[in-house]
Amino acid sequence: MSVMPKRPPFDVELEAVLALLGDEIPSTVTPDMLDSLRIDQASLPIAEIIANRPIAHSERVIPGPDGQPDLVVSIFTRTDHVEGGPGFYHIHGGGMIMGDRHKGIDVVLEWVELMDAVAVSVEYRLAPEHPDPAPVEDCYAGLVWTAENADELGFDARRLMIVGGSAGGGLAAGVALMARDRGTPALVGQVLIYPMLDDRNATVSSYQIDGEGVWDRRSNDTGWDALLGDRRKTDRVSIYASPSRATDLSGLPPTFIEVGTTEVFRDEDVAYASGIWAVGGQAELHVWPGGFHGFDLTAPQAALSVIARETRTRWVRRTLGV
Amino acid sequence: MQELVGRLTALDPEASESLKVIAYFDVLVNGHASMEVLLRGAAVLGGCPAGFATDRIVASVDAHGKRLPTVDAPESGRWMEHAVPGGARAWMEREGPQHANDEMILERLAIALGIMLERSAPQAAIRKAVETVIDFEESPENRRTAASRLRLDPLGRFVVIAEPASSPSAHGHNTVVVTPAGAVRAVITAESERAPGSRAGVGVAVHSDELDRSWATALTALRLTSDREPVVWADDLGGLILLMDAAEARGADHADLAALRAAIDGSPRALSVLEAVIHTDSLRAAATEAGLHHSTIQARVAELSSTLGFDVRTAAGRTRLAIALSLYRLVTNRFS
Repeated sequence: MSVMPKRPPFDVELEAVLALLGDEIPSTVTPDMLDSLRIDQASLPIAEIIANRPIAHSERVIPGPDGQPDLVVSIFTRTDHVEGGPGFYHIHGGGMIMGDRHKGIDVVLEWVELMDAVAVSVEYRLAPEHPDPAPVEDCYAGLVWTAENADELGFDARRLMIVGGSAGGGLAAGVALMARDRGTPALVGQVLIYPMLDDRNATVSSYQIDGEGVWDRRSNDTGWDALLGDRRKTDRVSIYASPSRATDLSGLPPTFIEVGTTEVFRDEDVAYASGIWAVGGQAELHVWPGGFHGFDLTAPQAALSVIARETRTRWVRRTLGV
Repeated sequence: MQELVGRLTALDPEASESLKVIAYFDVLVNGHASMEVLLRGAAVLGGCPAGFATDRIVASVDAHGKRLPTVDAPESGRWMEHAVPGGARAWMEREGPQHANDEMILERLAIALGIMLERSAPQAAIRKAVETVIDFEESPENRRTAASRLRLDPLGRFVVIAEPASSPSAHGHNTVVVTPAGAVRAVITAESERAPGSRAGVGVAVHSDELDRSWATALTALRLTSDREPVVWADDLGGLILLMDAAEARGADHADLAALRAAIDGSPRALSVLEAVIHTDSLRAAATEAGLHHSTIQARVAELSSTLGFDVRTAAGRTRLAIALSLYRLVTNRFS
């Protein structure tokens, strides 16, 4: 594209938060920034995250993919948990190159508390040290373990939902496609929060966010390059690594997709929903006006963030019947 | 945003964090953020509830920025507070010792709310400022603030012009005020630019801190206008203005006024004859002025003197009559 199209405006409250946080959240992530970003953006200790909440946390080491290292998962339940409620399998975000299993965990912790659900969050291997297919296969292995151990973990295996944000949303979409194609496990729904779906990075929205906002075009290049190396943008990329490549989105569980108008993922996320409807599937799509990437986690009290969170939770409850 | 609070409370207000607070509110103001969004910003940055009250509304949010069902504004002084231009106030409900950035946040909130108020009703804000600045009962400080909102040069000389409210809306900041003479428009103009309309009272020239005095004189002057003299300049009234102020204060109750009213009510031409008498130097000139024959006017004047109880042909009588006529106009002129 010779002329970059103008981006939609940011929501005023969100724009003010960006002005305030400015240097803390870089718009452009380049490979040389990775080491310090991994340290700066490490999650708070889990004890602090769940402090003052009626939530219990435990960790397990579980088998990874065949021939691959074991995985660590975190398990969250209410302290007064009663078995038989829904289960959430959570995959964290961080552009495929950063983050840990506690990043963004507030999203499912709210549901654990509200619905007496069980949440499992997986520590998958990150790129560039571990390129595709390591991350998505790790995530799939974690899902299989979770489904197989539903009884022990204390949730109803028929009400297992997969959820992820950003790279976690992309991996969740990839894992849902794997679950469909490999025949197991059954998922009752997938919640894809501003998912990172398309390694080609060639949509209009991917050009609109450059040098401002959060996770701009060049950051996206950094993440996808790390994950795919030279295979990127070629036909040697699987639909599990880059779900936007899938031409057939039939056979997927009911899907919730949300994204902001003012982030790179807008167009590929909208296209993914359209792809599901094109084959008669069920999807609910929300495009939040003025939202930057990750706005609800960065500015949780902003009016738009409150609405986004409530809308997502309502869909989850409706879908689960709780 | 919870993390924001933590970062700000730990830090030195001198540092770049204050700039960030300023940047935060600047973005909100530029984006025309609503009152609730502004309050939410302050509450979340400060980590405590924040609120705002004008003479018409009260609103507050909790420390998470969620709107509270407020009914009454807290007493002034209960919480740390900041005035908002336009007669409003904003506060932060900080329990315990103040945090380093509280003052900065509150100040920026107040500025932002003031701009929001002005934007949401710019005409109303101007009118309110004019009302304040001409009101002798307002404190000098409030009048000073209102004058600066109207961007009146503190070294400049100004004149207030009083016109009927129905007159076409003026040049210059103005507002309509309810007065004992009905609805009157007060227009503030620079001394060099005063351009009264077709029916007006022009006040004395003053600095911006005495606009209440200029207005008072303008109103008196307007109340003394007539069809024959539709524009009256307070400067030209001389000591008459003191008499009019005294009359207003004491109820304008005088035998001459009662007699004059009786005379005017008794005869349709009485007023024009009496005005002709005081505006001319001789009965002959008065006759011409009133459009009457010389002998007719002599007869009329004699009758009227009898009714009034004094001889209007003498110099003293004419002065007394002029004062009576002024009182008459003062009490009967009505504007809308």
